[in-house]
Amino acid sequence: MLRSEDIMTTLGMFQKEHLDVRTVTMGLNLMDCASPDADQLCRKIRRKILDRAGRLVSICDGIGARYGIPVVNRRVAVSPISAVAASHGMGGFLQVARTLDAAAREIGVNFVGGYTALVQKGFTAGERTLIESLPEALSTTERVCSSVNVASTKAGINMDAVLMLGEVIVRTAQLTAASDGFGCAKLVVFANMPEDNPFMAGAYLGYGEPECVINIGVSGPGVVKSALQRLAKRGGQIDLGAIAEEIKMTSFRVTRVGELIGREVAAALGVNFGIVDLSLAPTPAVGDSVGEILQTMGIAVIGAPGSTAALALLNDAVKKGGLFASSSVGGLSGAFIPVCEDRALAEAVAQGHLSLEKLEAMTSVCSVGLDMIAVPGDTSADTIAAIIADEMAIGVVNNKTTAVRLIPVPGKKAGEKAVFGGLFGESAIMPIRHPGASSRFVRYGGRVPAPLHSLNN
Amino acid sequence: MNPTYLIDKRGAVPIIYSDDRSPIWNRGMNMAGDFVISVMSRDRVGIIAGVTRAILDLRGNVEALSQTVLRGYFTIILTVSFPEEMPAERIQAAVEKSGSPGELAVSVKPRDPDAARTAPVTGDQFVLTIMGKDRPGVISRISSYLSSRGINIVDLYAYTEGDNFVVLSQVMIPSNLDIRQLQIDLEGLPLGSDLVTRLQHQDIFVATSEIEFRHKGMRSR
Repeated sequence: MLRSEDIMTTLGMFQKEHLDVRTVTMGLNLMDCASPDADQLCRKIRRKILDRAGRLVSICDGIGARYGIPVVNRRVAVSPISAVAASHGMGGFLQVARTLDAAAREIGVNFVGGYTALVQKGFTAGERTLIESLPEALSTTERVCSSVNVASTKAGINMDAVLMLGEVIVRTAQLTAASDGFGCAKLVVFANMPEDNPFMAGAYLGYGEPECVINIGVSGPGVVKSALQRLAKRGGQIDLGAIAEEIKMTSFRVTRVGELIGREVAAALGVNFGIVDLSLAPTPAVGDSVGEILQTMGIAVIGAPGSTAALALLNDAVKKGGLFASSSVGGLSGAFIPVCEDRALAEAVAQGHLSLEKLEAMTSVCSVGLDMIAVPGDTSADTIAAIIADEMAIGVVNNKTTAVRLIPVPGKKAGEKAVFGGLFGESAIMPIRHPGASSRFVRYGGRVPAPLHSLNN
Repeated sequence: MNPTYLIDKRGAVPIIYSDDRSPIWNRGMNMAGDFVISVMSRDRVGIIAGVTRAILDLRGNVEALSQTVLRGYFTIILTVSFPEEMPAERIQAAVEKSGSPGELAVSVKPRDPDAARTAPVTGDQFVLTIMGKDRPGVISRISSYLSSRGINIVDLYAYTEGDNFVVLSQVMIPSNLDIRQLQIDLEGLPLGSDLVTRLQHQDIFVATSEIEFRHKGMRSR
């Protein structure tokens, strides 16, 4: 039974509070495209993407209109290309990257993820080649996204891969210097990478996933912020329990939007519905910011003491609301803090309130990690590797997903501005304390062993 | 007071509420002495008590009713069965007498039992909302357009909040109509540039408001 208040609340989420379906991501298995001939491999990849995802955009548009909800992005996530193209050399990998890029353009999706390798315990030849190909692949394609899992709770941290990726990130930034190093925005380094994440740049189709599956990413920082503002306006005694309850109820509504749209799209395409990922994924728009939620919760200066606790409450309540709303919750499901993409966080960096160290602490209680952070262009590969290693350690020890998406901005220094445009936003470049001071540690190589999970304290 | 807008997603069967807001279902007593009675008046305490007492005194049984108060005016519609033949004029006089002279506007008609089973249009139910500055003719233009496309208004509620006029409506859209074209047509109606019209499938409101989630793609339930 619907009441006018329910209708008005739902309408308000769409009209005023920026609720949207952030992404409908089709996971698509490409393992059966493998071929000893690179041309044949690429033909099969293109054919399969067109066959299975060719109607994705038009179906999403139709369903979005039917329910009056914008579906902002339509994307495809494929099997790890490091395995699909394993028998081919550097040339073959780059050919596959260009094929994915062209196929994505042809079907009208803005990103295709899965130029991916999982190397937490070591490299295969194909995985090593894929990582080596990344600077060129990311700088010569527009829509291909890459992710590399370098660590897991069960395997520890592959420090050889971490150092290699430090070098890849520096080189990719140099090759895309004209766009402030934007190529690096399409590469995520993970610990405990989820197999069903619909959000880019980290989406790929995991080895345990079905042939073809629809995963949904819904967002709604603006909805949560508005709900908390309404709660405050209602007056009376409000404690943090009441705030958590309000966030849970809001997350419930937002998750339901995702599940309905996901199931409709999957049914229309005749494929499996996978998961709904309720993540508070901010955009640079005013009112669509995780930072603003923290401010609404009483953290006047983002990065001040209390920021981590407030974020922990937010992240937990989002998950709880989402899990009650749907039995198909997966992916990352929590609060993202991508600095460039969140106006309030970017402002806090520009003002010097939010440091890399505080961000790192905050990532131990929320989704993903050090995300979309612009760093000085002269940051060395060793220093980037050390930042990655720290973030991976948080994920490995705490048995959670963490990730790093750093963008060294060529020719620019701390405090200057990096501009990426659109949903990727802009930010002041964040200073790094003591760059180069960890070189000896990261250059040892080898593996940080998997952590003990008893005697926890 | 927050307005209450009731939508039945099952479609053909209208949901009916008693004055204590719990549902009463048509029990199918299609007797010769079945009537539909409506009463309108300025609201006050005791109208329902008086009306139902008058019906009881005639040995009538209330099968279903729906009652609402709009900006201080009370209205109720009831279906009532009587054990024997009963002139409509006698019922009307008895109900009118339950109020002070001239207070209650009462209308009584014999009830057609098939009316409850007739769904004027089959299709999908959508929620149509219109919001913006109030001006005369909005509902007239919208309802004319809907009628011209064979779209049945299942439920309609409108209210003014400050300068803002809000229309919430549940409509049954025949399955042969193109929703996107309807949305374009509705947005193009000359209602005034500041009025925002939205047409959305009802399931999105159900999904975000109800505890249980239902979808044809789910295996259980």
